[in-house]
Amino acid sequence: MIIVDTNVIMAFLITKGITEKIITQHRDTFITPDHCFNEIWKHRNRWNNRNYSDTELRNVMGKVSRLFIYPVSKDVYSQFEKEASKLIDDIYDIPIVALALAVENDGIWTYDTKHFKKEKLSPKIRLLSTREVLELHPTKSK
Amino acid sequence: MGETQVIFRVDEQMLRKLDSTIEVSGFKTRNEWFRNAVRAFLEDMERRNVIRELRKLTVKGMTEEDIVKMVNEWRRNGKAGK
Repeated sequence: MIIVDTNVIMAFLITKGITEKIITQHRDTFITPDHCFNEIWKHRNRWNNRNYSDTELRNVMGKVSRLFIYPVSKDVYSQFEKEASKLIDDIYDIPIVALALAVENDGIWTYDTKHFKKEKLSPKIRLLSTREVLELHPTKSK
Repeated sequence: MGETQVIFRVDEQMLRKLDSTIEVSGFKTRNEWFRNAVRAFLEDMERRNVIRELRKLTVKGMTEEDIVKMVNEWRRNGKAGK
């Protein structure tokens, strides 16, 4: 199980490349705190470019969260938020670190590894770059 | 929900092979296996359709760095607005 950061979900939604390939080729592997989907929805006008109406976009995002990246409810990780807040500086990252503390996982997949302080997180939590995710879950070329 | 019976033909050898692997795969009956295979097929089709739907949102030339920048910017603005 790999926990994905907001920026990875964004890449899945608006780019066509290795992130999409990894996620589509590995079922039941990727989870995220529900907070990340809420954050993406809140800022939809910055990336949707009016291609979809809100109803259509909600429908597409619902399918993404059902078939590719599963959102985990705050109930699961809320009790770890206090501990998570001591490991990071950015309040937006609390849910993702709390989820990593709450469930068994292979790490947090993020494009912004510098943003997290590795030395504070390890050995409890592993940060994964796209290359490291590929090593754990290689893709088949189509 | 109503049920419909489906009859399909396979050659005997294939059926024997299927039967010998059904149980080791964790299915109790052919029926259970068939239902699961249909479900998996439909889900696969749905996944492909979603990927097609996502094309409408694709921003060409967007890199990992661009996405990090975009997310950081909306977070910064969010904090400023608080």
